Amino acid sequence: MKEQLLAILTEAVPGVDFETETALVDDEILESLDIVTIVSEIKDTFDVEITVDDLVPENFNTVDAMLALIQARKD
Amino acid sequence: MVPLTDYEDLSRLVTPHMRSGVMANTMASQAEYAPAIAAGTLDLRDTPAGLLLLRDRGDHTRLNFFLNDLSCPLDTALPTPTVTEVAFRPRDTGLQEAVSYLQRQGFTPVFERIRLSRPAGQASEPALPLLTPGPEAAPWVLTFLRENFSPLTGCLPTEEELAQDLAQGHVLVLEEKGLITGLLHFSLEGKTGEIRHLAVRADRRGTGRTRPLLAGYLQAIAGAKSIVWTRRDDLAAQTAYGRFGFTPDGRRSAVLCYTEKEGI
Repeated sequence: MKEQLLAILTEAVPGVDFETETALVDDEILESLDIVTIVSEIKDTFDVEITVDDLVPENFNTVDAMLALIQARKD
Repeated sequence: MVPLTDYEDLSRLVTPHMRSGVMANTMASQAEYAPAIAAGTLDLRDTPAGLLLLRDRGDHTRLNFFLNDLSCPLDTALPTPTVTEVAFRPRDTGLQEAVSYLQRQGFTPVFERIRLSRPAGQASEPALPLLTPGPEAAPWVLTFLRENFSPLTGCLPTEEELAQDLAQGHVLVLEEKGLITGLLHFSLEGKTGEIRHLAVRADRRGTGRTRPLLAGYLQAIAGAKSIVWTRRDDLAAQTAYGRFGFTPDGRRSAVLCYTEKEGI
């Protein structure tokens, strides 16, 4: 799952070392439009429902947080 | 118009629009939209071109959008005046196309802004004493903001919003004999500060009022990373910010206004 997510992120925002960044939203590495794009890809790839309520920085600041969100929506 | 009773209604309607190729200038967050829903000032419209979120701000309407088909007209009668701002980076070509689309729909460009950023780092002590008024000062501060910023494009807060910012100490004031001579209004989200308004009273401009306000601001945010949007043609402001380490970071925005009497 992590490899698939990293592929989505790298496609959406090239040139970022996503595995080491800890504040992707707070540091504005990911912006609104990026998150809309990433969420749409996550929904299609992992067949999960992510709503606007989920679009808070805590869910997108790190790869691990995004994985946790995906896992929570799968459960 | 789609009736909304709470944020869950909005979430349910916006979520399907979070898909590839959609051009959005908002994340429709709860913090941003729940107050407007509670106040009954949010008008949500599902059009062939996409979803429009229209917030009544009293003397104008603010438009945010999730556009998915720029070949379709908006096909809805907008209130007048309606103002929107589209921010983008050089690689956000879709949003730049959205700006052209809105112009084809009758919106007129008002001005462009550029964003300046400053990396984290401390600044010197302010050379003049600054006040941080409490929420009871909201009418006093709002009067000054209204005297110095356009009601349409100045992103003015409501008195209630301003009172909340004052309660958090997010307004710094230079005062002489009970009158505001300079003011800086900011926000602090996560680890980034943003200057929302900075103004010096007309008869005090050129007297070094900007420097203590900026120094006080950087002190208030403990030297955190900072951003500010400024008009692209305001070289004086850019120079003043530049003295404190702000530089253009490549982000731009277009401010557009719809003023036609007839719908589109």
